[in-house]
Amino acid sequence: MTATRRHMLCLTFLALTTLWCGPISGLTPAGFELDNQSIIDATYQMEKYLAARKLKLVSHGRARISAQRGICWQVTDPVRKTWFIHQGVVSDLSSTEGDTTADTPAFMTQGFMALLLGDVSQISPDYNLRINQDEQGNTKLYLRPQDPKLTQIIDLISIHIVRGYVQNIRVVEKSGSSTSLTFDQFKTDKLNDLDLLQDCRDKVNK
Amino acid sequence: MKGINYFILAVLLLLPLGGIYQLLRSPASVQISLEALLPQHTNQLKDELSRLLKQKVLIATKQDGSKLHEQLKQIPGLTLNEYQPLEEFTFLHRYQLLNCSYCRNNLTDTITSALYNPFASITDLELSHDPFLVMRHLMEQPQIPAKISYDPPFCLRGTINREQYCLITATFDYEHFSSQDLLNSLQQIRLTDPSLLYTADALFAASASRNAQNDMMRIGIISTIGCVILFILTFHSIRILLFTVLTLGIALLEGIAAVLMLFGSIHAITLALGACLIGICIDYNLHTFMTLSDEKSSKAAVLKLKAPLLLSLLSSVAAYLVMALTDLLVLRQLSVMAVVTLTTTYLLMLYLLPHLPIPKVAPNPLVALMLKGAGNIAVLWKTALWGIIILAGIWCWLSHPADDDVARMQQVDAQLSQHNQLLEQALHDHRSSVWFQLPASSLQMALEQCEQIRDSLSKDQLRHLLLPCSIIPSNRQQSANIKIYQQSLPQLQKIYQQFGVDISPPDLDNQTVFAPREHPLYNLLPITDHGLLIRVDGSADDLIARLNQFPELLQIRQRQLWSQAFGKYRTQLSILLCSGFIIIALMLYARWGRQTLRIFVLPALCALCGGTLANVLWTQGYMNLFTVMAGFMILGLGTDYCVFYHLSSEQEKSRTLHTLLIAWLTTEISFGMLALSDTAVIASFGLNLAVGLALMLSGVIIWSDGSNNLIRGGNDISK
Repeated sequence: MTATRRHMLCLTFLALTTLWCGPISGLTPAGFELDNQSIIDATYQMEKYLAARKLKLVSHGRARISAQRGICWQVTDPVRKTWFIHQGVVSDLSSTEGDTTADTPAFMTQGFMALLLGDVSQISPDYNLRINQDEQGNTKLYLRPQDPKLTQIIDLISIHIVRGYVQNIRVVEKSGSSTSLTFDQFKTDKLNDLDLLQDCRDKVNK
Repeated sequence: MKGINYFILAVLLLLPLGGIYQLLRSPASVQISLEALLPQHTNQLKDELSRLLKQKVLIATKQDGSKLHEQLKQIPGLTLNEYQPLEEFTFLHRYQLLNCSYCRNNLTDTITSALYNPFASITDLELSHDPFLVMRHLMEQPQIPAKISYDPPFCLRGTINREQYCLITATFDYEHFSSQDLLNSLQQIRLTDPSLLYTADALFAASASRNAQNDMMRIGIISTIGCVILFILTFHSIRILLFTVLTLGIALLEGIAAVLMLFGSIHAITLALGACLIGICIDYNLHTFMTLSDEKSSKAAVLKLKAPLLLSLLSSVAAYLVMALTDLLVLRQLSVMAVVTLTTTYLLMLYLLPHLPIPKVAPNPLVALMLKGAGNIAVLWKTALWGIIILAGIWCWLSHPADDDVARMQQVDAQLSQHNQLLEQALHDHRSSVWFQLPASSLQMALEQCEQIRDSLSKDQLRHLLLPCSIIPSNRQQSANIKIYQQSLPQLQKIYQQFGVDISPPDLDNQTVFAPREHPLYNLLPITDHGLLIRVDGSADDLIARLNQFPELLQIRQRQLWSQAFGKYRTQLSILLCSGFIIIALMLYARWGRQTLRIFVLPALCALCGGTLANVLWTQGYMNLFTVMAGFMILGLGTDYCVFYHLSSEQEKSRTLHTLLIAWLTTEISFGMLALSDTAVIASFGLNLAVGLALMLSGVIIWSDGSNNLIRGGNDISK
């Protein structure tokens, strides 16, 4: 393994941790319009394409997102996994060892939340932002990294917002690999007294 | 008889030369270590590890780090820490560094999470070079410090007040280079770089020492000028001043030489406390000069002086000798020094001064005025006022607990404190740190013990700790880590195959352990060849208590140890003060019977209580070791006032009053002036002494119905 490739690997990790941080000033949330008492319920498909191996990993599942109470993220196919993300803490509810907490940095999970909500004001100033809006009011956000370290890894992040909902998030890496998240069957519910964590835990075995 | 006199004189003059020779030959004879202050068998400090902490220096700037680095390199004694890039090393030794706990029980969960999670899914590079996902787990582990990033070769990047700083760590050889020079150099750099922040134990010590020196210099100059003026006004002669300096010098050196001979060394605190003896010795000088200048023959003068000087000497010696019974080295040294210094002064007064030409004492209008004034207000003093002072003083003693915290005894530099707080916050993510030592026969042994401690702590507790073994594993741990990967490899391949993913199996057979010194952060970690230090968040009380349960860990509590030592000294000295008071009272009782109550006990009690009362009113009741020391001085000097005044005949009363007033003024100008110090502990000492001695002198004279004597004395001197 060459020194350059070793550095590339390190930079990949760096990118993973610096992808979501810091605000872009002057922009307001453009995605899910969630008030404190609402919860978005949607199914999703994730396609992870690994260019070097020409391998596509596809998974399906369901996400329940509340701006205040966190995210319940469930993978239903090809494996069953459930994560609960709240206030920067990721808990693996489906772990064989019971609830385990992953030491994922808070800014990373908060960044993920910002991406889901299409809230670009929360995303790093290290990106150049381009916004395309069509006549129906649908929006496409394109984020290109401008930090030299990031440009070696990330090529483009695009967020497609349709009728106020984030429909697709796509991260394209310089290596040609990419990750695409597509949401469908949106449902907005009122939270009322729902305990999202308990609700999420109840769904682990269903 | 004459031969014996000359022999005594020769011995007295030669002995100090031995002390000077010993000090010049071995400056290390002056001890400054904390251990010597503590009672025997309580030494808990391991020099090598505690030195690590004392050497630590942390410097930060918002500006160009490389420019600062160049400037710092020029400072003598300062060694800047440099380190290699961390990422490459971590990747190369990832299997040695991470204890793969998930490999045994949770490997499937870990791999599937990485393949299908939306926020940090697996990469091509990981599948090719890190299928165990070691790097992402290493990144999740808390590093030191959690909020710091590395910018080799010398900068740590941290945020202070929301601004990016370059933090440079260094060590300072405080044993061979001047901390004062280091502080001056940093202050000089700060003139051109106002964003510069710095902290180190050595800097706090240097700053406190400089403040104390400036303070003492200021007060010392005023005191010296005051004493010189007073001597010249009184004796109209420089010779007397020179003789006084000469006899005091000989007596003190004699005391030091005796301590060196008996103990092999002398502690700096003994020297500091011993300096108070000057106050008593100078009074012997004044009485002798006054008597010699007044009497026709020196023989007659010596005869007159012998009794009061001897009684005064015996009472002081008896009080100081009690200190020899304690188990505190410094107090035992002090008792020897006091006995020898006072005895030498006594002998010099009797055997040296009578042979010197002493000029006639000139009338002093200032002293006359003071005596007459004091006589006129004496009636007031005789009333209930003294009772009130005694009662109020006793109340003060009882209601104000002593404060032995050494941190309060020195002036803490406000700017340094602020720097320290900001840097601690940036580097360690908390305001204060508590340190534990883990001494061992070798570093490997210390790392292994550290790992055992780490494994017994919870994940939450580990967040509040810096354990060097979490960064650099022991050889044993590294080998164990590699073995886990080797055993888990077949299962890993099976899991990936299950999801149709091909991986390149890592080469685990050629992994070898690395030496601690190879680690890029070795210089940043508090480790030596014989142990390591563990840092804990100062606010995590439960964790600190838990760590104290490990027998191999020793908490470094220097401030607490010093405070405890000072507290123990204060308690012992308070007992000795009471014992000394009783012993002196009994000795005087043998001479004056029941009158002792009136001529000594009540004035001394009033002086001790009055000093305390003044201290409470002025310094909000700051009671410490040095306020008790002031009590000793009040008692010693007060006894002299009492003895000399009451042993003088009616005809000599005016001269004695004159002498006592000069002696008192000398002490007030030299020691009493310390009340003006900016350093709380010195001010409390000076204030106690100034007020206590004033009350003692007036008490000795006025309780003996001396108001008429005062006025008569004033008239005599004016003539």
